[in-house]
Amino acid sequence: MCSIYIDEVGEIKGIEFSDIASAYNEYLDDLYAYALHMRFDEQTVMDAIHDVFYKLCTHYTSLNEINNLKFFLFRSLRNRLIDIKRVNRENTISLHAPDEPQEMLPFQLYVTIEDEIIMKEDAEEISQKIENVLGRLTNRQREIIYLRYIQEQSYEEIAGIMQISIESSRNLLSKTLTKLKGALTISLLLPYIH
Amino acid sequence: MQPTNNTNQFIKFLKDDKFIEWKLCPTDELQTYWDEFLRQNPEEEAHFRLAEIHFSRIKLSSWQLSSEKKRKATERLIKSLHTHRKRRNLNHMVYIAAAFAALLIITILYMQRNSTPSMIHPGTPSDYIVGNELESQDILFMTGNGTTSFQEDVDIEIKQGEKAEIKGSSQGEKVILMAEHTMNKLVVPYGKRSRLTLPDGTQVWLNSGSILEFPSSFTGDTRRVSLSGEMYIEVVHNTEKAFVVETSGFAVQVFGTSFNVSSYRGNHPSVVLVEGSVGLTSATTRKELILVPNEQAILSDEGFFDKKTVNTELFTSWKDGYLTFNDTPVSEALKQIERYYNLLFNFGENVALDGLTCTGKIILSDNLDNVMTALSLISSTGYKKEDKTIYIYKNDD
Repeated sequence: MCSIYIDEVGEIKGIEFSDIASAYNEYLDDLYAYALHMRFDEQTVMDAIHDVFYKLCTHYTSLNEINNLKFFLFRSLRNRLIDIKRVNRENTISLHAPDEPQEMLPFQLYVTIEDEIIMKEDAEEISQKIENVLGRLTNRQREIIYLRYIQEQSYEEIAGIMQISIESSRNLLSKTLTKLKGALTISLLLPYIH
Repeated sequence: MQPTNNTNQFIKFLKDDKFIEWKLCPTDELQTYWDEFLRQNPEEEAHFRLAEIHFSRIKLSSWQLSSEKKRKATERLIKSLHTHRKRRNLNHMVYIAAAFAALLIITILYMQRNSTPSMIHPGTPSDYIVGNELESQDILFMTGNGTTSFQEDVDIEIKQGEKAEIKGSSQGEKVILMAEHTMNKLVVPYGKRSRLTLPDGTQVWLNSGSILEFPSSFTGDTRRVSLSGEMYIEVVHNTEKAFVVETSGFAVQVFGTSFNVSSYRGNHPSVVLVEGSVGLTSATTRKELILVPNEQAILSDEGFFDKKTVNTELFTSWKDGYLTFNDTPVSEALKQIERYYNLLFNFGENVALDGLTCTGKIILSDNLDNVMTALSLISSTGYKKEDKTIYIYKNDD
């Protein structure tokens, strides 16, 4: 009779707490920053990350079951945030809110230069220029840049996280270019056009 | 590297839109542009490479959590998971207790289908009965001296001297002293069962969702208990002291016998006699009725008894860990499963299973899936379980 009890408990024991804690610590900053870029407040972000991990731990028995944990976490968090956004939006009336959940999520990048070799005035000018370039991109394009260069995700992973085709994840960046080219010509004439 | 005017040449690249653009969105076109630039201006290569290095140091994202906040967040997660697992372990222990009693049989006899198709509207929500697992509650044992709660099924024996011996599957033995001459209460929530031995040795099996009130010792000339819910009872024979079970609507008087009393709210209260003889008295009409073994009495809303001969196993097998059905409406079978496993089905307006009956036995296993599978086999229904929600639908085979 006792053995039944032990087996039952063993079967549902699940992921070791120490594994969860170390995975949590490893990815918390990245997930936190990702969500803040989408302009969610800190409390919402922390709740969403908690929920993502909670669900992960209650649905899987081992972290090894997940091939690419970082990718999995980014995608789950993004979905969770879209849900939160959708619920919030249902509670507010907005005439021009886009229907596409993708479009509801802003994505903001912030330039920081802490390079001792670059003079302060130069740093300010460079920041301004980069911000101008980023400012001309769409939210989704900025998100791809974030995932690709800061989180070092592949196009395949980006496509999975943002739930778009691999094609689009590549194309979005080349569309960026076309758009920039147009903007560039104008900005040469009027350097501070925005 | 010396920060001279010469080395600062790289700055001009950092201020170049096309350079920034290329670093952010390195398309073939821009790649060609810069390759060409370097081919034509090889003297710029060093500055160009330096600019790349410095560009990579520019941050587009610099948020970080303080280690204190990280620690708190981790603690919060671990706490949530602890709570989750504790709850799951508890549910399992309840099922295991039931499984001990249930290592007996699996028999599925035959299927019977007796549906009224005109009542069924495919594609509407009433095609399903939806059930949910509910939060588990504790068993409460209330004596004159206070209340003790148990998270799993218990076996309580009331001994001479107002002592209650508690036997549970994991908590070991425990003795609770009860106050003299007071009534005590054993509250068994849905999803739980308990056994109780009264001071005279009478054995009681309390089914899910039941409350039994009983004294610390039987003084006076009758042994009197009061029940809401369902119990199976084996009364110790004593012609001197009649045993009386009071329940909503009627009282059962016996001298020594075994019977099942059911008086759940929303159902007609009933008594099924297994052995001996009992006398019933309706509380409203004062009508009396004597039952002989294999008879069932059902009390009507108006306070009259309806008597019929039954197979007692159908009504008492729950105490041995299985349910027996014989041409029983599926909705009634679901009600029994609902109580036993602490689920909530949305009957009400649902008509999908009207007219369906089932016949056979279902082991009250610790695994709800086994139970639902067995039910679908004997009732020509199907079921689907998603997390804590169960959908039951009619099988059109």
